Amino acid sequence: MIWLPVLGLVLGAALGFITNVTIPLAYSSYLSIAILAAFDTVFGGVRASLERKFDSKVFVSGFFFNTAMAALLAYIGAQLGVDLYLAAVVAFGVRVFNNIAVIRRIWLNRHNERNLIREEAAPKDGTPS
Amino acid sequence: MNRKSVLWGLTGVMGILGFMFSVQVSSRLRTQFTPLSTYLDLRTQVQEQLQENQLLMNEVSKDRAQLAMYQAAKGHGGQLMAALQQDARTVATQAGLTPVTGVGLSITIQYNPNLPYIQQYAGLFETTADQQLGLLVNDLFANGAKAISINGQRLVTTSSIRLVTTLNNITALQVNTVPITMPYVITAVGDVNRMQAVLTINEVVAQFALMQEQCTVTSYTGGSRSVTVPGYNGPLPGTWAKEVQGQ
Repeated sequence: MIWLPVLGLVLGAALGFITNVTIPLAYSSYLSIAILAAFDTVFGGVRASLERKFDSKVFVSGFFFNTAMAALLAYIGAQLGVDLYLAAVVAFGVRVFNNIAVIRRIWLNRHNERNLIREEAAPKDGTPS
Repeated sequence: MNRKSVLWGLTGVMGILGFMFSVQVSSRLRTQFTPLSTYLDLRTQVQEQLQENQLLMNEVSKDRAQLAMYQAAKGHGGQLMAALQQDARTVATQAGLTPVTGVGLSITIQYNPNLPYIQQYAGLFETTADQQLGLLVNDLFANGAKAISINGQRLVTTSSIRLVTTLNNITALQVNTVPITMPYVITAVGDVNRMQAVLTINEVVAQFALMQEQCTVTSYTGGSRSVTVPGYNGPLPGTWAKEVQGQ
């Protein structure tokens, strides 16, 4: 069932390319920061899922709220003349890499645990179990 | 934790994320090419504007040169116009188109039955009036006359004095194709003495008297005694001419 989110990603991307929806260059930075926030939410969700702390309500609401707030903060920063865009990029970038690192570590730990279990389950005389 | 709801939520979020990502990518791709085309269009437009500007500058230069020429000729143009108007007035005067007033003579020719009847000359004037008047005005023109009219008809270079017999056998004298009747009044402006002299030498009064035509010569020697010869008001040469079209 893990292929279902990937299928959603592919379908969404295909829909975006097929519909040929574009946004003005002036608003491109807002969408990019919103995408970065969405990546952060997705990776956060994956991490929470791997840590068995995932809550779909938190995930979905966080996705929309973070993307909207990221774009809004970038817009406000542009209006105020403060580069909140860069601050958001740094903040979300750090979070994304942090989540990726945690995910990678969890996968490695699981992989190691799985190997350890296999080794423990394997007969010591070398005959297959 | 409901695993199915997690999957569907994650799928929806990933779909939205994919849509946003593709929109962003397609927008970036389009804007990456847009500045290039915009730059090319802008460069083309700048070149066109430069060429148009050059053409307009050339036209402005030509117009300025023409304006300077007009301004330079402005003062001379007024003098030229005055000279041309003076020439036009002179030509009109010489052509007899304007009235002339001054010293001169007035010769009146009137049939007078009381004059002695001489058979040899009796009735001669009626048949040779055009020749007689022609000779008289030629003598006057040749001796100081500047302007002459007969019964108000100004004699110019194209004038005619004709004795014309109509269909009902009536003979009439025409000056400038205008019929005139007796008394014939010849008005002449010019040198009175010379005109009087030629009339005396040629014995004009006596000659007309032989034909029973009384010729009365009155002199107008200036001051309140002056004579006026009207201007010519008939058709001029070229009046009926038309410009040839298409050649």
